[in-house]
Amino acid sequence: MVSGRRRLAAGLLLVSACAVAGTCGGGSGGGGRGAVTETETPPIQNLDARCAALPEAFPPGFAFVPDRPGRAVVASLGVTQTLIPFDIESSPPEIAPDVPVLGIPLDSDGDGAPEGVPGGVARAPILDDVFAVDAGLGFATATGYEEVILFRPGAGALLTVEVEVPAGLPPGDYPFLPAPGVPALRTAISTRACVRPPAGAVDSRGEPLESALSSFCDPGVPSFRTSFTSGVALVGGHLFVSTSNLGADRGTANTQFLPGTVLVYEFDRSAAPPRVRPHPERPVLFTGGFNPTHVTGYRAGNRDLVLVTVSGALGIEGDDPSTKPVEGAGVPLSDAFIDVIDAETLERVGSIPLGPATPAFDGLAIDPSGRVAVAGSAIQRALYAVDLAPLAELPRTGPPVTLVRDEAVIFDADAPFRIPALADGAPPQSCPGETFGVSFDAAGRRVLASDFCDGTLAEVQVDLTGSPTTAQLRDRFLLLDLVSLVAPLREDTLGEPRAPGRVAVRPGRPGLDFQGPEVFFLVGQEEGLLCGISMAPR
Amino acid sequence: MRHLHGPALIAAWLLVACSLGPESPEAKARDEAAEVRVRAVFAASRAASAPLVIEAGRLDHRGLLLHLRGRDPGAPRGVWLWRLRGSEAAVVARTESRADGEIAFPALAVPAAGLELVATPAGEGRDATSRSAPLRVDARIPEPPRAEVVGATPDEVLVEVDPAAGGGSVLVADADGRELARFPVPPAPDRSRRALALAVPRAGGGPRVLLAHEDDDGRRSAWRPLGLDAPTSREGEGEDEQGEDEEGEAEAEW
Repeated sequence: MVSGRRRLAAGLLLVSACAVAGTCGGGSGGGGRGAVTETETPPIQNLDARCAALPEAFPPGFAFVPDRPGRAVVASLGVTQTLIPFDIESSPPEIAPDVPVLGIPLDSDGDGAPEGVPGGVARAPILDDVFAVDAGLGFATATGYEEVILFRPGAGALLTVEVEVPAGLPPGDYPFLPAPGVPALRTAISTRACVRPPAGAVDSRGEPLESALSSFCDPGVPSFRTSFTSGVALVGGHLFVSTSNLGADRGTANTQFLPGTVLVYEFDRSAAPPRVRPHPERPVLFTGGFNPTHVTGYRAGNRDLVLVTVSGALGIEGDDPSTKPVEGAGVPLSDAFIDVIDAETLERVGSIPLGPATPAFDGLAIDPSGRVAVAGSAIQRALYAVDLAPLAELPRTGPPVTLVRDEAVIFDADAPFRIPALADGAPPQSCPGETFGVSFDAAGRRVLASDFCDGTLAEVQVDLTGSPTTAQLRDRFLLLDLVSLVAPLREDTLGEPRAPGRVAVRPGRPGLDFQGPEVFFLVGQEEGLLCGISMAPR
Repeated sequence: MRHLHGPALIAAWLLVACSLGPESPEAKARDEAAEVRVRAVFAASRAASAPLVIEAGRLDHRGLLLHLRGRDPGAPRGVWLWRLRGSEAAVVARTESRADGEIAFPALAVPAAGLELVATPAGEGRDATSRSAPLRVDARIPEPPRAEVVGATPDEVLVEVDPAAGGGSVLVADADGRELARFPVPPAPDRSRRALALAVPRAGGGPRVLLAHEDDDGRRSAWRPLGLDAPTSREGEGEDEQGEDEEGEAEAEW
């Protein structure tokens, strides 16, 4: 555990390093402005009165329930994967007594064929994340079997919907949905879908797809099926689901990615039961780059948009057995983008290039005014940001408009907002920084970002007052503080709380709208934790 | 100088009062009332120092969620629930005991490391003398049972089941996970004495059933499939069998 004295020393070291390098608190050259202050927030202990234990390590996600103040739902892995309701007003968070824990059943989608057991489907769902629209509707994305599980967060129960594949779609395009034209009741929407890349399409290595693909869907026509369901957003009556579509050589330095896709479903919540069907004309949209890892709904003026985090192809550096640290850093293999989809025309109308940035796989953190979106990084200790103001003026149909630096890009791979490393943090060869959890506070004045590797929480001031231009926004981010949340990922910290994941700030004003903790985050090791802490008021 | 206070002070006062001259009926009544008060105070004092009691209720969701109940001799008051781990301790829940002494603790998830819990009155440290006896809950999940079909009738399949441990129950479910039957397992450490000869109902003509072992506290193993084509060679000797992907594709094909 990082002691207070050691943290002070580390803080002084990194402040010195910032002063020398001039890159902390912004990659645009104006860094070093923010003096890193020492914080009084003590690191999470092996047992901590601010954390609730979860059944398994590395919980995939959690979400606040918007119309249930003080309530969150946590996704947990395990022999039985569960969605656990928590009361977050108390410290530590408590499992809610009035809502049952939802165990994902063997037949998660209710089609009569259990998953992961003989007699059913070999592929089993593995929870990826959880989202709550309100107490009556929540989504849990799952890879493996590939689906979006529907549930009612306020009841701790699955939600049954009527699913129908439009009769005009080819049979077999959705192998785990009912046959076209035959509606059926389901508790999950299968996101296993046929993808037929356009002629001349290439994979993330630049190789023609024709030679790499089999004929899954049509005889003689190269195609593949979606995989790695990664995000979901309900926007303008449509359900958008991103799928990363990993190809061969997974977990290597040269992982193949197939074209990224966003699946579109019509979602009629006013029906009883709600009706869902793949969009009859545009069921599959292609992203502008590889590896879409999330979708985030955004309202620009009077139009609904979907922002797709296209992280880019990502490899994992192989270990060099001749060196002591276990190498395993992420290797960006292609450029990243924020794609913009018009939720009405279902066309990709904008693209914001970020370079080889590999934005993290969580949703975008958007400030309450809707001016900027911030993403973490899966490969370095940094933040990326885009200006959302220009999006309202994008055309409603393609071709997509590219918005570059000073048009929409605030921080990208070339000039990220850097977060300092601890002097005694994780070895950079194995874990060079991964800002997986990023969240604005409810007032929109701070961004909080967790670092999976060092176990820190960066507190970044964001000043959006006035009408700054995109270029001026770059100077409106200031590193205020760096809190040691948990121990860094080092050999000698095994067994201690480590590896912080998602961070989310509770809606409302601390002390007025709620009395409990303000900032919640997941801890991945040594056991899964949901923790709530209060930050010093700014 | 050591000062008397609380019950000791009242007892001393009662002693002095009793040593005074002949008592009147009023004095006797007063003394009796005082004695009652003293007894009440001593009783309360004993109760306050008596240990809290925490007991594990039934676990659900395959042992992931622990429901706790408890008794507080010093109720009503605030009660803290601590989790212990080696030399570390942390409050994991706060609640109030009811006037009748009942404590309804919040549910806790059982992490892989298990739980060791004690309760104390609110505001006291984990080492408070009135803490409860520790309650230990491990996170062990039972092994699924091994099974072999040894015969069949039109309605039932005769199965020999070899549970990995004694106690609890063997559950039989259809392919959808719907429970068909539940058979108690003898709490015998000897493998041969806990083996079961079961008549498993056919699951609506389905070719397979699923078997699991559930402990008495609700912890349940993973499901293990068993083909009902009788008699067959023993299934489930190794890893869980994986059925054919109905798409006939594998990840590696990409």
